[in-house]
Amino acid sequence: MSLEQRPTTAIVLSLVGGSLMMLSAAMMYVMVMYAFFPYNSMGMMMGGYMSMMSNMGIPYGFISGLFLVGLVSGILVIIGAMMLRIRPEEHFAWGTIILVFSTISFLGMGGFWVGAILGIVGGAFALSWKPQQKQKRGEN
Amino acid sequence: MTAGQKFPIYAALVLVVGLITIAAVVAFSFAPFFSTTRSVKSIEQAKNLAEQYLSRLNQDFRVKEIMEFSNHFYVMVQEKSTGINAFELLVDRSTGAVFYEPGPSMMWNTKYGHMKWRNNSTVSMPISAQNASEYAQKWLEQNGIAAKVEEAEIFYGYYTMDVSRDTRIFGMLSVNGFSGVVWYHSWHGEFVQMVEYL
Repeated sequence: MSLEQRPTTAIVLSLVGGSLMMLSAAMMYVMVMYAFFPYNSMGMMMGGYMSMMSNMGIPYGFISGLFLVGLVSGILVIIGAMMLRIRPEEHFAWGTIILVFSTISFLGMGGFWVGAILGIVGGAFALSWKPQQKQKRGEN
Repeated sequence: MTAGQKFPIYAALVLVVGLITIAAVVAFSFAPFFSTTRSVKSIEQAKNLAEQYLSRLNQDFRVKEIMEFSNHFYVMVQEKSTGINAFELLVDRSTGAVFYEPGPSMMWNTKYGHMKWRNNSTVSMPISAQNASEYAQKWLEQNGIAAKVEEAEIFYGYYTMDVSRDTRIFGMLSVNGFSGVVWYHSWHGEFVQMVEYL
């Protein structure tokens, strides 16, 4: 299958969007661990998920929930983009997945919003993509 | 559904599993049903929570003082070995969450806060406690707050002092021991009561 027979734009946009979602989730994690807890943050990390979040001063797991939503969405958008490359004929399914999880990622900062928007555009491109028909030799 | 709109079983599985995962994360994170939050009603409860928190950090800490405010409980933590005030914590009333006080304790503390990179964990500061009190009093006057600063508590890198009006505490502020900058603790709410443990 040639490059033209893959939804390249959708793949690239979704990969960048998914990567940004994971990056923003990682940044949120760093912020939680080091900015909010300047002292002995590693110790708290060892305390586990609920223990760590109990130190936030906001409802348990609120920030980690946002972080995890961003992380899971990013992973699924990247999986969608990779599957789109491997199986472009299933562009409707993987485009839907990219679109759904890019939208959900808004809950978890959505790759600084830009990632979510790129994912949504990538998903839309994947849905609307049509494979080019191979022209037979000698055909006008 | 056309040939281009195939939705294979494994894609459907990815979609369903992803949605369930996110729904579970949201449920665990936001829904009170899943959380182990507990409301804190007394200073003793706040002290127990603060001590549990401190025991996870270091055995050299003890609770020196707790002040109950309408928004949360304020906890002053002291180093057992040196008797120096270490840092300040807050205990959330509705969740029981114990956390490092955002503000001077986090930003100015030269031993336990962001300023620890200076490697200058000393309480000998260019600005004395006396000067800090004068700066604080001047700040109150400049901001039209008819109140008086109480005795300065020395922390690593800064001072914290109560602010009283008609002998009743009504607020708190901190003064940076290096720059003299005053930071009013505007987040506490109304003072209720306090207990000192030393």
